[in-house]
Amino acid sequence: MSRVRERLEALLGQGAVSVLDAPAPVSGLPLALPASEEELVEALKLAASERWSLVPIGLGSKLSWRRALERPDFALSTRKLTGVVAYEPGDGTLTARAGTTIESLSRTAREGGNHFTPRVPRPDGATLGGALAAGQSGIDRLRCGPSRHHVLGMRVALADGSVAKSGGRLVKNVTGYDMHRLYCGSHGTLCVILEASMRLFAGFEREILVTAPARDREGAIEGARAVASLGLQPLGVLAENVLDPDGAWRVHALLAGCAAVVEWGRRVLLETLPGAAEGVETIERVRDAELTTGRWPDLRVTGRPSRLLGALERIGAGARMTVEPTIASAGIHADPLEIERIARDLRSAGLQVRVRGPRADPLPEAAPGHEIARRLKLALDPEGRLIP
Amino acid sequence: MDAGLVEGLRSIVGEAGLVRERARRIPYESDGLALLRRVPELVVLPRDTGQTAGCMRLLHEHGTPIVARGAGTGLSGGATPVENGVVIATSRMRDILEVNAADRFARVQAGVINADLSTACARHGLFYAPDPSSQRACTVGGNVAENSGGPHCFKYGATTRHVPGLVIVTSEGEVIDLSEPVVDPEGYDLVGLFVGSEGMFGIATEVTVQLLPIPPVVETLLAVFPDLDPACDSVSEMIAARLEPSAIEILDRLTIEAIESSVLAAGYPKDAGAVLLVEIEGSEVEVAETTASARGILGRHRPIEIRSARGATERAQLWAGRRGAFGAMGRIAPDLYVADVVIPRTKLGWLVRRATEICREKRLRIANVFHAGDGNLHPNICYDRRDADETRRVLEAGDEIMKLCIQSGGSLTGEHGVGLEKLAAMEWLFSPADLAAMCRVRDAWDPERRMNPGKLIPVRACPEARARPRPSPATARP
Repeated sequence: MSRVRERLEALLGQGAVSVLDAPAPVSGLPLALPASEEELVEALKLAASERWSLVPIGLGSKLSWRRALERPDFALSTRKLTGVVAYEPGDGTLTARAGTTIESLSRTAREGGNHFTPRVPRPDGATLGGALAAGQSGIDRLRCGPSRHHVLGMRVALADGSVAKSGGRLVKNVTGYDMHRLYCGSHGTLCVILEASMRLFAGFEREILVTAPARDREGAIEGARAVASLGLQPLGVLAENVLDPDGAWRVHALLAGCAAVVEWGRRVLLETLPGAAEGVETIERVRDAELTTGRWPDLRVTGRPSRLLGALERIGAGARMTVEPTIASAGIHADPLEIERIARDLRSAGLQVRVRGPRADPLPEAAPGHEIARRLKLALDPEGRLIP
Repeated sequence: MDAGLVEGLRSIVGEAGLVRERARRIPYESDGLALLRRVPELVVLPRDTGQTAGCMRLLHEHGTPIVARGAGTGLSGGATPVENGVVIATSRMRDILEVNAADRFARVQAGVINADLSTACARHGLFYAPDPSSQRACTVGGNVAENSGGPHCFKYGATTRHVPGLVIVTSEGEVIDLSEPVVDPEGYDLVGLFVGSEGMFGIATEVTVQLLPIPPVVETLLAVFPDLDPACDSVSEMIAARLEPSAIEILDRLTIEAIESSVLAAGYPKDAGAVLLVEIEGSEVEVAETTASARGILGRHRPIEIRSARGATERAQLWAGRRGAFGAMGRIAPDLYVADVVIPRTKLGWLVRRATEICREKRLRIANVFHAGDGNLHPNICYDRRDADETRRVLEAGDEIMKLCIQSGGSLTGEHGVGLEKLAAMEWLFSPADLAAMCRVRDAWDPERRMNPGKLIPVRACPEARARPRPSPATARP
């Protein structure tokens, strides 16, 4: 048994240390599972005193999104820090511990008459802290915007074990720096998220999915754009060729809101989109489309909407992908040998590309703001303990 | 001020880009918080990013403190000049650089007036959502520094949700071009962190803003109530019923009197105890549904009257009254202390009543006008700053209201920022560890703490030496 594991077990108890089941370079790491915020802070202080490095995780479902450059000494999970700390249905705010699953939060909000964003794929396998740390948004991003826009405040543990909060539990608040905006999408490199407060949306009386076939990728993207321009305020619009076993392209429009508005939108869509029908797919399958192949897309592409379609033409017609044209976001499953070429082509078209999985690349040092980013890392994690 | 430094700055911005004479510097002595003043030693007016960067490098070499300023409409002392420092104002950076209708964004220089931006986008059927009450004067760069709000933030959110890109000049004169509008930034969200940093991380010289389609249908309701309580209660009920109008605003009796006696008279009934403005935007079906629900709730709270604006002219008139409220207060008192606090939306009525009691106890007059839908209150306390005792009572009342907000789960500021005004109060809300984390982040941007020093974070909350060693280049990787 490794010394790291021994010391963690001595601190947290034998049952609170497991083995991380994940791809290299973090496979097989001791996995610390503190049962309370106090235990998590103690684990961080132990790591600081022993000069150990660590990778903070929730359930570990997005570990492939960012690659550690070196093998850390252990993984520290927030998955046991669960539960809603405060929920004010009438105020539309919810505060929860980091390890609470998105599914559980969505259910709580729904029961209180609210909508929780982000509606991510496989919400039972995603924690609040993990989704925010990964900068993850969901199928509702078109109407709700990115999830980081709805984080009202956070409590985090820094690498030295100190606990700091920012923001609050209010829908409007500009007191102090928006530190939580920095933590969202930082992939655990700056802090361990302990708790987050989220703004909720009004709940939906009715929710439906309308699906239309498309002749090819171009037709699907044009169809999705057409839907978005109808003024229906859909919750999400997705063009994809991952759900059909034969790779057929389709457009899905998710309508949600009060019954009369949804009904009006449904009629408009059925009249406007050739071949459109309701009930062809389930909302859950479309929500989870990115993970249909069992793994995350190899490339995540964002940028200006007008650049997306032309750039995607550089990728072979058979490639499987999900595309949200209005917000210019695409997840592409590619042949492993083609990933680097595709990433290069898309970047040369002015798009931002994030490679995931074993080929995940660190941020280029020439990227704008790299020097400030480096200093921020140094300021909050001066010894480089979080995801080395 | 060092003659060599002034000459160096003149060589960058030209003589027209310097404000040297004392008489011309006096307008820069404060922002909208006129209680706190200091005439700056020099004001610099660069025209673009390049000139700003040149000035910042020179000021870095001389170790000179810098205060960035837009139009000076801020209300928390964020643009109050500092000792031995210069003010860099963006008033000559007024170009709209690009309006991209296809991708729905615009790039503007920081000194562009907020309202001018929406005017420029209107011909494309687009608008810029954040609409502070000072939008005819305030700048987009100033809005970025303060993360400004406005009535329609209830639906659309504050500035930070509408700014996907920035060009930033750091305190050392480095230009960071983050202007490309991307939905999910790769790496740390530097733009999101910068917005609302109150001029302490650097100067934003160009701003990329997201534009929205102008809604096809707009309904504006004016509900007139005999007093404030039913107005507040109807707002809480609308929020609890999950209605999502684009704006919900309340004005009380004293505010109505001031507006109706001014050139901004909006047609609010002078005998009303409170009026509630509710704006609903969207598709025809959506607006009809929400309007019917809102009217139902308002009707249950026994209003004197509910009416809809008859067309764009009346709508504009109703909003002109609301937007001009602070200015109109000049008719009822020489000075106005504009408080800006936020509380959970379920506690609106309670806080208004308590704030009124506090002012009554201190023999002060209070006029309430606020973004009710967001729980963002502006208890405006009337006073005369020449009366030292009254000024003291005003500041005490402001502190008591802030403490009350914190005790009830609220916060210090919803849209005006901390600046100098609420500096001491930061320690009421945040722990030393919270403030220390903010200090660390501030030091990453500005290691010498020359950008807007003495604002937002109490000095004693940043225990490290003032001039920190610059970070070594090799030891950190983001």
